[in-house]
Amino acid sequence: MSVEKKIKHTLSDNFELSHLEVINESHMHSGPNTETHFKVILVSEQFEDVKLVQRHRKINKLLKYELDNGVHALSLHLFTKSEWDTKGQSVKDSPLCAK
Amino acid sequence: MDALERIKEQVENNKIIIYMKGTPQMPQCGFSSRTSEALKQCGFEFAYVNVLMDPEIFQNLPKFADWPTFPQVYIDGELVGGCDITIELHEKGELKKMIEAVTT
Repeated sequence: MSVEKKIKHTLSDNFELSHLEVINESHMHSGPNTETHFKVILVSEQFEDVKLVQRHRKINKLLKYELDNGVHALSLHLFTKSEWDTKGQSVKDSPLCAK
Repeated sequence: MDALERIKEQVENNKIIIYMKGTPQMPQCGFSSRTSEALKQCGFEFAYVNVLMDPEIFQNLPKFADWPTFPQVYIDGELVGGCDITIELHEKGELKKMIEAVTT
């Protein structure tokens, strides 16, 4: 299974989702490995009243295996439904490696 | 002194510190670049450690606060987060307030 699929599965299994996007951004970076940089947008009511750091920690923990085995960058955009709506349901593009 | 002790000392002795790839003037990673830019825009001085120049810190920092990626921002000894969180707080105007609260 690709890392992208594995991340999707892990997150869908662990969250009541309103919205989930897992975007492989590895092509924006140098190097031969094609599954190194990912962006995750996850919208779930389970984030209500949970601090940003704690939200990130939860995902980092769920994806520990991936982070220990080749995933080098994981950009996380974690919102409740109303936060996501306030953002106009979009997030900034990720940066390229060296600016 | 081992690396974890050095990190502890650095975050305790600097009100605002970023661990990044490269320097605020010459960032070596897009995420580090964005994050240090957000700190600069808050208008206060901050310390930085270039993790690419210090392999021990590079290896040990993820263990320090159980946070797997770079950059990492600490305010008043506490982990604020990486790029995504710092930018989010900056856009909401909260980052500057957090910095002001510890510098003034």
